[in-house]
Amino acid sequence: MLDSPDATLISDTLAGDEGAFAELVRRYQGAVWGTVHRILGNSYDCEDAVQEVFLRAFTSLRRFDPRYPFGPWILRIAANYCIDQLRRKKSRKMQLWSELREGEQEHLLKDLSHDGGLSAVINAGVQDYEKIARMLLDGLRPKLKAAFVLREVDGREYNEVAMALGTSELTARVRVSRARAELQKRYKRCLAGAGGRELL
Amino acid sequence: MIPLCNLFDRYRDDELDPEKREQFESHLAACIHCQSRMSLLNSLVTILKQSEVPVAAALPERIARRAFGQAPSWDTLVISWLKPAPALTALAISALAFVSLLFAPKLDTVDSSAEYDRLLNAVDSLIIPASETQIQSDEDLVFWLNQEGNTL
Repeated sequence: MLDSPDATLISDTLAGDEGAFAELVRRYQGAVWGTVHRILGNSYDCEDAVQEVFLRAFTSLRRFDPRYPFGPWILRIAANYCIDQLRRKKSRKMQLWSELREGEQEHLLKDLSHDGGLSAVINAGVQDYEKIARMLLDGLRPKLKAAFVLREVDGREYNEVAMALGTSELTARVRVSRARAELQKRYKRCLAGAGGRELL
Repeated sequence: MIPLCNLFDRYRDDELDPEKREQFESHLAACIHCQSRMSLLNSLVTILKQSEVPVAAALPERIARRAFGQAPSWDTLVISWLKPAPALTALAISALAFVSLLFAPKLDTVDSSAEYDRLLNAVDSLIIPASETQIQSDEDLVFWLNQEGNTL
């Protein structure tokens, strides 16, 4: 079963083989887990989300066309799930940011625009920087956020991003570009709010 | 924003030809706006890539068990059986049948009316006694004709 192609695992799953579906999950859980975690962040239960994505895939498995690869299909389900969740729970987005003290906010924000020193600092306290990064990212509209994560963090090609989001490649490009610009705007706004106007 | 700032995305996506790339790199060295954006994005990506959470062990078995344990609702079952291509074909056939039905009664009506007119004309040619007052409907007429041995 370990060497079976995806199409075989899918047909075995449809025939009622639980082990075949477990193997299919095992193959794609890493990619789904990474994408879900990066888009939703720490404030969501990643395990529940991944489970829900695969359960959705399971109930729709008969509609999957085995002539196409399974990876982009499951990624699309994952991206749609994340976008749905983000739309439902907008209120979560400022939680992490408010956990930081004002002085910390300014200090950490300034570090973000200085490439050189960042990697060393991150190693010392990645959680704090992650709070800032999350705060900026969570300010994006769900579709922009998903496009940004898929392209920039997951490192996917634009055609893959487009497939995952169910859009054209052009739309995917526009969304990533807007996300980049939007992040910079939010960053400037936050920095100004934290008293760092002199930086930019 | 100066025009060369517009090349930011294509530079970041590594899609510029060598000449444009060199042009943008010279621009980047002088443009605070682009520098700031580039650094910010690099930092965000670095941070987000570092904040990975390990995948939970035994998750595939748990998910598979739950998937096979859950009873799908009737609508999910119906939808899952409807593959897109057959569903579209069925939809097209239904639409065709519906359109045909729209015309079919009209054609039947025309035929029936013509047949009915023909029968009425034939009946007119028959001499029906005035005493046959019980004939008040088409059914009565057909019954009377049968009794009288008339065929039209």
